[in-house]
Amino acid sequence: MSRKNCIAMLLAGGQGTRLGALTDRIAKPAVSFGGKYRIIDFSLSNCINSGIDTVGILVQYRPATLNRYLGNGQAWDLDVVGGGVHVLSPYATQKGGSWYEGTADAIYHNINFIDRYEPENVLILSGDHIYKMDYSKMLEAHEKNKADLTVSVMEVPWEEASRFGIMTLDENDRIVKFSEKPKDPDSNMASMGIYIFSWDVLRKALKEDNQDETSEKDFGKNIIPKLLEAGKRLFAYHFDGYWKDVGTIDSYYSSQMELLEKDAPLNIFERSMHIFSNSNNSPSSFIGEDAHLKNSLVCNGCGVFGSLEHSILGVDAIVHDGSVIKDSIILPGADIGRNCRITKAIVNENVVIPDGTVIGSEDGEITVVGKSL
Amino acid sequence: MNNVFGIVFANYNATGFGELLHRRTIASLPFAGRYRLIDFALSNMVNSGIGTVGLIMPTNYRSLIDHVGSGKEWNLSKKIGGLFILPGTVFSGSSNTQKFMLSDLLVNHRYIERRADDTYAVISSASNVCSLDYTEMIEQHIESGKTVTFAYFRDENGAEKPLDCFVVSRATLLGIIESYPKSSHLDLVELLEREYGADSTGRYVFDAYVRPIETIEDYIKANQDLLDPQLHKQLFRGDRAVFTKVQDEAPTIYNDGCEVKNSLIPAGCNISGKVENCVLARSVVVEEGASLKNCIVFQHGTIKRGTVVENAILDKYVTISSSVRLCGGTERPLIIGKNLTL
Repeated sequence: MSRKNCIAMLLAGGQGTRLGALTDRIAKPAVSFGGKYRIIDFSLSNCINSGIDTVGILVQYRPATLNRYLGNGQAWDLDVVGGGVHVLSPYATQKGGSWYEGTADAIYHNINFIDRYEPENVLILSGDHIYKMDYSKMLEAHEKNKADLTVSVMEVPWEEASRFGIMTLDENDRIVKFSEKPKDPDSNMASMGIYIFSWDVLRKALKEDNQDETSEKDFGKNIIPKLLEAGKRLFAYHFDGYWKDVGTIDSYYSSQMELLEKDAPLNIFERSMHIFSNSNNSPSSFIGEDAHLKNSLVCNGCGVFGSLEHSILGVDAIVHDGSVIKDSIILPGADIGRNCRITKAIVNENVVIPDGTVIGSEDGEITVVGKSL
Repeated sequence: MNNVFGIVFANYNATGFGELLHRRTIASLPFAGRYRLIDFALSNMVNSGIGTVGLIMPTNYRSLIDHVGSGKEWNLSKKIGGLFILPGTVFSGSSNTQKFMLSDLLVNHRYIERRADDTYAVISSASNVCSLDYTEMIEQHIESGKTVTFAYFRDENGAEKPLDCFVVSRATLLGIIESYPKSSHLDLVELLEREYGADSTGRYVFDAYVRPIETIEDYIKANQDLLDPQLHKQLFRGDRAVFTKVQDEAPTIYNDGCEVKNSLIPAGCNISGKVENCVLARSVVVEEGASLKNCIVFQHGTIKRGTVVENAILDKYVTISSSVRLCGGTERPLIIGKNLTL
């Protein structure tokens, strides 16, 4: 197998407990986004758009939907000879089996997989962020700095800095200090959880960390501080584009509502850095005689017979006549009966809402409808 | 069902479509926003369990080969069987309207000779709008012991019409290949009808929706049919999927002030104006204050501000500039050719 400059390892095993009912049955990276995407589409599309054609996907929590969605990676042009998408789940050996105990542990258990590609560098990604980023530029900076590790960072408001992993940098963007959720931050450069490691450095660090019984086997908590302590060359790469962690219902809702804004900060319509998805084969959407549509996104396979205002209608979702959907996200395959009023709500995939149901209010909290009523 | 292979005859065109079939063939005529007519013929084969399909290409094959590619969207990109792109003969160029030219079969004799594991062939044209399962027809054919079984459908008045689809044994095809000179100008269906009388010929009637597209009137009717939610559902949401080349567009955005009624709109559009009784394709932009009525718009159409377009078919990449008013007749729509800016 020919040697690769860089392969990606995508951490997609998290449960995403803060997304509540939306992750009851599926892993967070498989949660629907923007009507036709799933959260993982953004990282996967970034990979192929950055020239990275080999992606190992670490799965653990409820991977069935995710596995089916990924298929052979063809939807992202990642069905390539000598690379492509590989789903890597925890496995058993002669000594027994174990779950992935932390982010670093997940990579540790797949050292053999990475070794097969003999990469110079390994890009570590999370499967739960919404952003468009050209990793090749980050890789260029990594190589230019002759770095052992490059961490992608973005400026956050000072008052929010204590919620992030904060990097303190010198004038050459070399990382001099790393503090996980510091009480008194001395920098507002936050780690985005995107790392490029030189493989030989990471390989050694993972093996050492695995021997350390006190370690939580986490990149942020263990691997990065240890490399810093050992005097390795750690650099920051500045990213100033749109980036959002959609880990909470609030951020999940608001980042999708942002798609409806004029000149939305994340442009899903432009052809450059196109976000690919494993679109199903649904026909065109049917807009009925008495439909009203206002400031909304509608995917393929939908039926709109009622009103849709400032809302997102996912693939194959149906809004029957007399219903009014406002400020809401209707996930793929949901069926909203006749004469319903749905306001400021998230309706989960394939949920059936009976005729005449009233959900949510304009001033209230976001209502999540996880299961059919 | 491993003992049936398919042949789709697509080496023909239709007349009276003006610019729409100027550079493309009827099989690759866009339909229902996301589809081409060929999708129905290929999907019907696949949905009937037929995994080997030979597609006889027209002389102007560019648009068709661009659409079908390796056949992967129809699950026809396989190690065993799959899609076979077969050359058509040059008979009367791109204006030929004869569907089942014997010469097209003869020139592809190897494709049929090599199907040694298969006993029967389902042969169809490439321009019917219908979602059918051929399984029962094949079973009936095998049980009846007839030489050939022709498919029929019922039109709106209940009259039985030929469907341009039939089942025949591979042995019969091989016999024909041996008996006729390659330069033959005969029609395969006529030959079968003449050679095998009523005793050797079976009939199978489909009760499902079928709309063969031979004239521009057929095409307009088929588009109107789509705007009936029940028919649309029957065609695309029945037990069988209609497969097509997936384009992966972003969702369609409906802006403030848009008025959309009784229309079929796929992902990838941007709608700010008025759209009524229309079938749009992906990446169509309808600007604020523009009005579209009874129109079929192919991909990448742009309808600018203050425009009124009625009863028109706009080919790909057509731009209608501000303040233009275009109105065709309900029976005779205006056809605006590809890439035009008006």
